[in-house]
Amino acid sequence: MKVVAAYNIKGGVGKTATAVNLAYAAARAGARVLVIDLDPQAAATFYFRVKPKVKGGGKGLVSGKRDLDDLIKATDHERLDLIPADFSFRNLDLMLDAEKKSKKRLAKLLKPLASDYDVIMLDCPPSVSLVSEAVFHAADALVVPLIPTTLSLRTYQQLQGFRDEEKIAGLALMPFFSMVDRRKSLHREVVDRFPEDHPEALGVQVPYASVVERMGTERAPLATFAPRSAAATAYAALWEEIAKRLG
Amino acid sequence: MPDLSLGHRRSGDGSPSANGRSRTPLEPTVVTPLAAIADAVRGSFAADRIEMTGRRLRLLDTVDRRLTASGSRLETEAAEGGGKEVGGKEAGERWRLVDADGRVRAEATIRGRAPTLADDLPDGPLRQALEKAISIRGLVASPWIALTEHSTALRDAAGKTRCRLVARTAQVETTGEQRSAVRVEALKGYRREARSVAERVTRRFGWTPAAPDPLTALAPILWPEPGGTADPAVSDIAQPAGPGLRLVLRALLDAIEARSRGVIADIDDEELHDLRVAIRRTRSILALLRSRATDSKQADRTLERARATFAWLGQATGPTRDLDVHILAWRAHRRRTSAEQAAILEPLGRYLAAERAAAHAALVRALRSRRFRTALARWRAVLDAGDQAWTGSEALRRPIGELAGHRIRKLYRRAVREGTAITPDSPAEALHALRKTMKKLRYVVEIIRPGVPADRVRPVLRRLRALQQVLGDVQDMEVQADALRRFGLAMGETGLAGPATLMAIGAQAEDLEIRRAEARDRFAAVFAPVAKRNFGDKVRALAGTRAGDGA
Repeated sequence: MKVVAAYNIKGGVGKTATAVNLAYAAARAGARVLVIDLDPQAAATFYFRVKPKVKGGGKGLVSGKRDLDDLIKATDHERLDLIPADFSFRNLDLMLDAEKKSKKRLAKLLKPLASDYDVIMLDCPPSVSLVSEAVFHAADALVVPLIPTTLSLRTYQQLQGFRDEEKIAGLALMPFFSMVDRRKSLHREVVDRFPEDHPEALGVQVPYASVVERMGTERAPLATFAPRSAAATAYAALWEEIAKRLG
Repeated sequence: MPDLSLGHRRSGDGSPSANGRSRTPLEPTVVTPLAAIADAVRGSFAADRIEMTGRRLRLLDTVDRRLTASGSRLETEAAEGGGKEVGGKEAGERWRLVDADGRVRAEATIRGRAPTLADDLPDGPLRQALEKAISIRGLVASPWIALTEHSTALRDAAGKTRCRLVARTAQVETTGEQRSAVRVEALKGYRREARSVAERVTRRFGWTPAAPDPLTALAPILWPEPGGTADPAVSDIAQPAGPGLRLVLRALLDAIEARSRGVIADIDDEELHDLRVAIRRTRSILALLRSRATDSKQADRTLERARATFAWLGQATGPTRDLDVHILAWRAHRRRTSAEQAAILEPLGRYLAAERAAAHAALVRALRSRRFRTALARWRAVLDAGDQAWTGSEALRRPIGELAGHRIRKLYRRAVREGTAITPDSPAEALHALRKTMKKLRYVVEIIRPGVPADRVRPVLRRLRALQQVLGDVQDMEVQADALRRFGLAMGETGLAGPATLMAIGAQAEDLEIRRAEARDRFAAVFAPVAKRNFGDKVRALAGTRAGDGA
């Protein structure tokens, strides 16, 4: 089982679209996938048309007293399940803090799912918090969507620093560019130069496309309603690249 | 889309008759289009348009339906690419082991000739699961089956699927036999909704949408119940031996005939093993019925002729079975050894396969011979002659328990005598003789087993089996080691094996010798409790004989 987290300190960079579309691509490729929506805004939950409610709330999730399996909801897509978000997840930090070994709590909770799922995709809230630290300890890879802007690159450097500070062995950072508009010279410049200093960067770029916004009205992964769109194709290729790296 | 004209088959309909064919018409009892079912039970949900898919597949199972019995099924269909060349390789077949609830437990793509043994599958979860489920039994493929699936999703107001209605029809292409079922597919986290819809189906249509999958329901037709029982026994040990054991012998004859057909078809090595067990059990009962007071020469002559027939059959089946055991041992050795060493031993595998093919051909000739057919027909006529004809001698009239008790005492006495005489220097023949005596003793005990309280018979059988295991190991390893050397010699002389293979065969024979010696060392410890007086009392008490009597 591989745990992949769609993460960025910055908000509005396409984390949820990344988590949902990569999860769908992984399931399409034959993997058994579970998405865990850790963001109290519950956007991934919304995309999968599931009610944003978890039995026992955030406490039910982190305490370990409730079987994680009871919280899982099937989505409408084959081999793709979801643990929905709950509004109480806004206090997930405090709830984690109340547990022993809070940073390693999430990793411990996910362990029993190994026989049921090949991939666990975590959709993380923005910011650096105890939740993020728990995610770092649980994940094999952080897939980091970056908008090709200076500010976005700065947050990636912060993230790198944080990872190094925490000394989390085995956590791979996999940044990639999202919402790329090659008509903009800044985008072109950043996208072309970034890999020179960051060999860990993924090669696939997801273009800016209005069709991605339609996920909100269709409430489904891109590939189900616009399978031939450039963005849908890019997410499928992106998963292929990630899967190869994960081995 | 055309209306779906299938529905749910009521339980009990279409049950297979003795010949495996359906006794009832094939049409399902309820003929309702899935769209109409969905409309009637959807409640506040909306039903999607009906979708239809179809595929061709075959099922695989052992002759004794081990997979079906374990609640799973093995499906095979052309791998993606439909048998065409994919990436320069043949696409092959996709094998899926599916649970009763439709979950795929393990799968693999099989290229080249489809294997019949789990042992020949590529390494992986499918092989592991099948090794556990079917052991060394061979897989037999069914004819092609056309599987049609109609389905619809029931969605809530947000458009989220809450459950699915699925109708499946499986039809055997060669015979037209078909089974259909409608089920409500529950989704994780939405089981309550599926339950409600299923309840509505029952209320509205009068049937429960939880029937077995049509593919599972076809299994009894595809693999009819194996004929005859492997270990028939008597339940009332007070009844006269002749009439009581006649029925056991008839069940054994059914098994012998059915297993002979399996041996001729050569679909599974274990058919031969089962045939030999049925022969040995028959011989054991015939020995039991040997009359001490010859008050009816006719009855004795008839049984004597049967004894000769089954002794001949025992001998005729021996060489093929020996080679089957050699091949099993070769496979087991190949599994234990490195890939390089296994490759070196391949010529031995080919040699054994050729020898086995020749032995099997000879056996098939015997099983198709007039001698075999006439002897079995004559024996069946004797068994069908009725109870009256089976009271012609003193032995046939005695209660089974009494007769068995006498035989058990006699065999146990002999076993203790033979076993006690065995020392570390005793020849292998001494252990072999004891093994034969123990086997006879165990068969008699097993014949009366249902008529004896379980808590009395189980501990005895457990100990007898443990001893027999050790004796079997000693003899089998020795026979196999000797045979290996013989095979090696023959292969060397005919140029079928190079020095590396011959050395590997030698090493394998050495390995067997070591394991034989280990088994031989265990003998004394396993035999000692069998020879103890209190165990003897337990053995004698089985058929109601007095404790302390006899041995």
